[in-house]
Parts: sequence; C-alpha cells; structure tokens
Amino acid sequence: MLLGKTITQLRSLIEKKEITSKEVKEYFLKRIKKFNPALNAFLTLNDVEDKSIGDRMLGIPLAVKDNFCTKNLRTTASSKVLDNFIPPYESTVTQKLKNAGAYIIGKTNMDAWAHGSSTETSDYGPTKNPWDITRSPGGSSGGTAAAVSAYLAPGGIGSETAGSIRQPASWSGIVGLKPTYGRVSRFGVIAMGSSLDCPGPLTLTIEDAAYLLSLIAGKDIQDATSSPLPIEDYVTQMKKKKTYTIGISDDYFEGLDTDVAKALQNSIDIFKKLGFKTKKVKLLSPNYAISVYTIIQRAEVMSNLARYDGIRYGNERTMFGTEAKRRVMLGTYTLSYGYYDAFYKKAQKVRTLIIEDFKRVFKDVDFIIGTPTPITALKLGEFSKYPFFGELMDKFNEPGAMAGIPAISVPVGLDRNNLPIGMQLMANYFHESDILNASYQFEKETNFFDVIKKGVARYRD
Amino acid sequence: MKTYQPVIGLEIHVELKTQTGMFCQCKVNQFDAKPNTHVCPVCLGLPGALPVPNKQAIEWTIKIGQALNCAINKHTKFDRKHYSYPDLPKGYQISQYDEPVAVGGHVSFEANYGTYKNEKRSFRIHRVHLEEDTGKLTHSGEDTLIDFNRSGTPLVEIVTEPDFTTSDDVKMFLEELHTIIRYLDVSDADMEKGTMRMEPNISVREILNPKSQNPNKPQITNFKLPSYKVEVKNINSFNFVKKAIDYEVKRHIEQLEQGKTPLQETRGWDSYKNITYSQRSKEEAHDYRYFPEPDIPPFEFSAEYIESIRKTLPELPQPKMFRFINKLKLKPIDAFTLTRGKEMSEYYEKAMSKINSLKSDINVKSEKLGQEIANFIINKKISIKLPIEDFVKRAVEMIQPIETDIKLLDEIVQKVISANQKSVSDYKSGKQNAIMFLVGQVMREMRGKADANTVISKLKEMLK
Amino acid sequence: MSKKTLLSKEEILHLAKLAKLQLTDEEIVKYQSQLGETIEYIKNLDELDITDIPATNSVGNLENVTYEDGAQSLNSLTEKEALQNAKKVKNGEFAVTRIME
Repeated sequence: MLLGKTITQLRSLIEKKEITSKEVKEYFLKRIKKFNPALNAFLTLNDVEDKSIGDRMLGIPLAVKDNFCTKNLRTTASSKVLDNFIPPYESTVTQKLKNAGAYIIGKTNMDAWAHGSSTETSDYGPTKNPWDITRSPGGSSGGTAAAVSAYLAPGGIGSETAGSIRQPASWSGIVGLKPTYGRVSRFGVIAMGSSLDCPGPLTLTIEDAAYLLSLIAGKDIQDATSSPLPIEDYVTQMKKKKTYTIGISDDYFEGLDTDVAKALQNSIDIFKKLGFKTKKVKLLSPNYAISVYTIIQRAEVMSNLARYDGIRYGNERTMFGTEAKRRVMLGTYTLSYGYYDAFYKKAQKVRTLIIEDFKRVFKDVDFIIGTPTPITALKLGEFSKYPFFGELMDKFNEPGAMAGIPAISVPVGLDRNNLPIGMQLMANYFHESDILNASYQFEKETNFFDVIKKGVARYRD
Repeated sequence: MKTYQPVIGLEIHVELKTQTGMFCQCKVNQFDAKPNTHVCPVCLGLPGALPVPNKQAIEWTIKIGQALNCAINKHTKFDRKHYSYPDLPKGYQISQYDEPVAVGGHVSFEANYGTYKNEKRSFRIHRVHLEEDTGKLTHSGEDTLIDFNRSGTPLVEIVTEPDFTTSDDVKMFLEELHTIIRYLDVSDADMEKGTMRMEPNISVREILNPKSQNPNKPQITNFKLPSYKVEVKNINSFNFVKKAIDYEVKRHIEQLEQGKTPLQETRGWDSYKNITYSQRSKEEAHDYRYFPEPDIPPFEFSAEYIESIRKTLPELPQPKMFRFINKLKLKPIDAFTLTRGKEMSEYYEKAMSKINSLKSDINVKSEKLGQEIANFIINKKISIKLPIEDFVKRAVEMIQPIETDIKLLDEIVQKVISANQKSVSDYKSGKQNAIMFLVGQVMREMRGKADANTVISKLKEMLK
Repeated sequence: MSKKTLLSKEEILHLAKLAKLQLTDEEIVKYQSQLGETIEYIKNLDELDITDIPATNSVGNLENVTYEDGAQSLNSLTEKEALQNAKKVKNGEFAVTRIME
C-alpha cells in the first residue's frame, strides 16, 4: 500500500525493487485523476516522457508550482496573460530535479503571479483545502501544498516571497521549508519580488524536505544573487544529536486564535522536553516589516511585470487580474518621480534595521519560534474583502522575508474545526541544517500529532 | 542687436566590442546575422531570466573613464530604468543611475595641431556609465519588426557638460573622442554602423555682456542655463552633426528673436532634407522610476584594482602626438595626422625602430629620416599593409637611391625591349601600365642592382 | 481612525498610463481609496529613526559578481524557440502594429 509513503520510503522501495518507478508514477497519476477535479491543485499535467538521467529520485513524482519555467511544458504563473506560454528553457531548480531523476508530474495552481496568500487570485479558479474544500489551502503555493496534503504527489516545490511556502504548509497541514535567500537559484522562476523570492520544498516529513533541499540548493552561475557558500549534507546533519536555544518574542504571540496559541505553547513545551532552552527576546515590531514589505515588494512586482507586453510571448496586459493591477499601481506610485525617497529608499533603510535586529538576536538564540499565521484556513472568499488583508495575515512571515533568513513550518495539531495548525521556526542565515535538525527531533517526538497521517487518510485510494 | 550663444551638451553611446553580452553569453556584434538567432532567455526578457554582468565590459568602462580623466567610483551598481517600448524586452533597461562607474572628467586637446587652425580645447565629462542596448526596430508596411540580436549588447554612455558653444567644437570633440576610443580598442566606434551614436542637447541663450567672453579660457558653464533644451536624434555621421546643430541653433534664434521660447522636445535629423523635425507631438516627461537592480549585487573596487586597469591604458593620441613632435622631431601637422590612428602611429614607430637599427647603412640625417618615413605613410607612398621588413626595404630604397650600373642598365633595357615587343607596342599605343611589366623584367635581369625610378626613366627615354 | 489619503482620479490615471494598464471607471474609484489606505499604513515607517542608516540595495553581502566575456551560453535559443511564443511573426522577426514616430 503506497498511500502516505514519503519520498525517502519510496526511494527505498524502488531501490529494493519492491516496486518500479513506472508503478509509482502511474499510482500518482491515477490519484490525480481522481482527486484533482475537486481540489484544483494541478493546472497542467506532464505527459511528456521524461527520461530520468539521475539515479537519486528514481523517477519519483514531484508537484511543481507553476511559476517555475519547465521546458516545453506550459507555465502560466496562474495568469491568463501566460495562458499559452511554453517556456523554451528550464529553470535551474527543475533542471536539478530532473538531473536527479525526479519526475515532474505536473504544474500546480498558485495565486496569479504569486500575489496572494490564498490561491484565490488564480485565473484558473482557487485550489481547495484538502481538509475542508470550502476553505483555502493558503497561498501562494497553495496548489503544491494541497497536492502534497492530499497525497497527489509525495512532495513538491513551491516558492516564498513572504509566507508563500510557510503559510500554505501551515493551512494544509504539511511541512514547508523556506531556505535562506540565495540558497536556491531563482533562475527560471517567474519573478515576483526579486530580492525576496526563495524556491523551497513542501513535503510530508523533515527528511524529505532535507533531501529535496540537498538536490536544489547551491550556487548557480546564472543567478548573480545565489550564494557561493557550500551546501551541507542536510540529511546527515539533521540526524545529529543537538540541543538549541529558542527565542520567544512577544510580537509572535499577539492576536493568535486560541487554538493556535495553545498549540504554539504546547510546541514550546515539547522543545523543552527535548532539552532545548528558551529565552525571551525583543524584536522590532512586525508592523514595520509589513510596510517595508509592501513598498519593496510592490515596486519589484511593478518592475517584474513590465516585460509582459504580449509581443514576444503571452497575452496583452489587459488580461492582468485585479490584484496584479493593484500591486503594480502601488509600486508605480512609490517609485514615481518625487516619491522614491519618501517610500522606497526609506523602506530599504528600515530593511537594514530589520536585518541588524535579527543578527543581534541570533547571537543569543538559535531560533525564533512562532506561527506562520495567527489563524487557521479561512473560508474561500474572505480574503478579497481587504486589499491589505494578506499582508496583515502574513505579518509573522514578513520580517524574516525582508531579512532573507530561513524558516520552516511544521504541523502541530488540529483546531476545533479540525483544521491544521502550523508552527514556525526562523533561524540565522544559512542555518537550514539547524532548522531541519530541531524539526526532525520534534517530528520524532510527536509525529506532528498525526496531522499528516490524518490528512492523507482523508484521501484513500 | 542681440547676441546669442549656443549651449550644447552631448550624450554619446559607444557599443563595446565584447564577444558576449552585457548580461548574458549570447554572441554580440553579429552584424550580418539573421534576426533573432543570437538570443537567449535573458536578452529576450523571458519570464524568470536573470542578468549576470560581463566583467570585461565593466573593465572597459573603467578604462574609458580613465582615458577621459574621470574619477572612478570605488562603489558602483546597476539600476533599473523603466519605460515602455517594443525594443525593450524587460520593460526596463538595466543601466546606472546615481552611482555610475566614472564621473567628473575632461577631454583636452589641440585640434589641427600645427596648422593655422590650431585650436586648444577642453571639454568636461559629466559621467561615464554602463548599460545594455535594446533590440532593433525596422518598419515594414503596416508593421514594425523587432530583431533582438542586438539586445543586451554592452553600451557605454558618455555624457558631457553643456560646454560646447559651436558646432565646430562639437565636431572636433567627437573626432578626438572617436580617436581615443579606438586607441583603447574597446569599440569600433563607427557612427555609420551605429557602434557610436551621439545626441546633442541644444539650447541657445542670450548673451548679456558679449565683452566678457574669453575664447581662450577653458569652457566653463558659469551662467544660468536656458530653461529649455532640445534633443536631436538620428544623426549618424560627424558631418551631419555640424549640419544638424547649425540648423537647430538657427531655428532657436529665430524663435527667440520673436520672443518665444523654443519647445522642449526631442527632434529627429532628416539627412535628406537637411532639417530637424519634431518626433513627439507632446513631450512626455519620462518617469523612469529608477531603483537599484536587485538581481545584481553591487561592486566594490579596490584602489589596486582600479590602478591595475589604468596600467593597461595605451599611450593616448595627444600625449603620443606631443612625443612625436618633441622626441621624434616630427612636424606638428604630421604628428597630428599620424596619431589619428593607433595602428598607423604604432606602425610608424615599428618602422622607425627597424630603420634605426640599419642606420649605419643609410645616408640621411636622422631628423630628416623620421620626417621622410612619416611622409611615406601619410601620403600613402608606401602601403602600411606591408610587413615591416618590406616597408623598410622600400623606404630605404626611396630615400637612398640604389647605385645603378648605367652601362649595364643600357644593355639590359635594350635586351628587354627587343624581347618584349608586344608590351612595347601596348605601351606605345597608350597602355601606360604596360611599362611596369618591362620594369619588372629589367629589375629581374639587373638582380636588384637598380633603382626603380631610374629604370622607369631609362625605359621611357628609350621608348620615346 | 487615521487620516485617510485619497488619490485623485488624475493621479490614478497617470499611474495607470505609466504602468501601461487599462482601468475601468469602477477600478479607478476602487484604487483611489485602496491605494490611499495602503499609503496611510506604510507611513508608520516615519516612526523610526533612520538617520545614518544605509539602504539595503542587495540582500546577502555579495559583491563583484560577474562572468568572463566569451563564456559559453547555457541557454541560447534557436530562432524557432525564440519565436515560438510570439503572436505575430514576420520574416523571422517579432511584429507589432507599426509605431508612429
């Protein structure tokens, strides 16, 4: 019975010849056919026969967010502007996965252009939360999160600008890792926030996340912002016996739903049980990060969408959705003549403060604990009421995003409505190993309170 | 009667002759290539593509800055400049805004040195920065067609201060700048091919106190600039530059005389009608919404690094010219002419070096020798395409006539004439060139012991 | 309730023109207040003292990242690939409606 088998387990099964790559591929294709119509996680299925070159992923399927350019496979960023775009080249991340023998089974739904936290701004309809299809799976990597949560693929790739991996992982009840900015190449990722975008894995276990990270991380000569720091053996590092100090900042406990607050406190207790220390820390209020993020991201968005003129590819700009237009307008405003100093330059200076703030705190602690969002999955339709709502919801993610530090979201229970609750750990630059180590210990201790097991079980073969 | 003075600043673009692109590895400067055959996701502006800067392009920009006496910024970066045009694939150009590679330089020279037109000039350079070129547009019927081969070619922008007051100044400056750039071997700087482009910004101001204008002082803008300026595009030769500026200045003065301020706008030069025409019906203020390019980390140059590039600068045209005059004792006008081209001046020095090593065999005073060789090159009496040895051999011959054995010459000439009746009759019937065949025959028989000119005279005499 | 900024219709239209976006009358009105709301919020940055704080123009402390001239292209496109997504192609070139100069 393959249901719920992790990437690590599937690799073992295939290596032991207990099952073939072909059988695994067909298994998931069957599940996608059965469950995707209701969930709308996948936009495009990959029927191009990929010859696995590598021997590591052994043809195991992965769901890939539709903002990664996949050669000869339609890529839309969930926008009608790119409805028929067939990239003539491959993103570095998907190329690495292909070289490692992974099978990209399909491209997943997202908020159009990654503008959003609910996957509702997609021009192809929202993705449903597998836990409750009247609710959002989170966003913008909602399609990948839903696909993994409902076991339509054993793992997947998303991207985060400020919360877009952590938050859907939290709402969909799976693991989501946002690496340090520059740890994974952005080449071929349809740009949203150039100084923010981070490709990262969404998986069922920490080991799977560590494994996928080891496949996609590393310097890319085609991305001038990618880090030359050597990548670590994340899977090995993850299993070492270590204890850490967790930073507790009051800001990350403000405004939490009662069940979420309880689950967070419970998580801290678990870490204490594992021998971790805790320490109170004081950080700059996330409200400033919200403003910094809003200004910088929208300026970069305006700029990155300027190339869509319908001449070399894509459809006309009239096909941009409301959210995209809104963000472009604000970006234009804050960069326009006379406003640069008042907004953009100021935001970049405050960004320096945020970075220095984290650097200071990480001298004393290894992690800062919190939740990716103060609530659990919202009903579809709630988001569109407020233009700024998404940012306020993402306030726990924005400071880390502005600094570029890594973070993870792991499931820590279900709320009164049987919806997943996520907990996040943020760490210092390039400390992915520590994040994975601590999370692995947590997983071993709690099995994530069976959240993932329960989630997958809702979608029996 | 009012006196007017033009106020002109220049914006010059130089396309660098790197092998590959400013931000991608596509081959550039492929002028004869089929459209859209040297493109990639980066220079085509495909979704997800990212720029990585070309190291050579940056170093050459520093070199240009140094050759123009600029200060090189230790800290520099790229910025995004946003505007919308079909030849601009990303909807923004990666350029430089507030931290360009080089600032505050000057080009000082003596033009037409050694002639009665000798003019000492100095013009300030405001800045030198690096950016990428756009695609190329051509019009075809109801369509505009776009070729992106040129997109992403490294482009250096040189901006002068508005120090120019005459079109002649502008022309001289451009010729000097052109020579300097070619000396650096970083660009072909060909205005017709478009590897060097220039746009003047022209205004005219009224001079309130004509007496205070001192033409010999370096041009410094110490007055209030006029409230408008007109940019002129589409000028693709040095001669057109002068015509376009003269036309514009006249047009501005006409308006000013009527009490009107010329409209601030962009105009195009029509080289057939010899006029400028308005390119935009309403001048759209450009809001480029500059911000630092997040895809490219900034640059920090050490003093050592900047110095290491300065060390690779060749001797520049003006210093070389003065060295030719003072050390090599050449006539100023000849030194000027020789140094207009780096190859030509280097060839001259190589030739002189070779000749000096044979000096004992030559019967001419050393000062005159240098001048003689210069004349051969300038007046194209001997081709500089020849290998140095052949050039020197020919030069020595022409300076020092070869001792010709007159008696033997007589004999051989007679012999050759009788043996080659066809050539003789060809020559006599008007084919002047036929004599060269006979010359060759005589030279061969004489086994080099004859001076060519003497042979020719003898033959002509005999064939009368 | 903080002071509400409302962008004028002209400002909205100017921004839309710069950004090459077409807006319906409804959208213009909507954006006037929505953008205004956002602009009000982001003014909270004025509460911080940023004198002498340098701007972060690049995340990650990298500098001097370049490539060597003449390096092999990893992604060069054939003419067919370059043109494959274009709506209008003529003689191997991208085509648009003729631009008036």
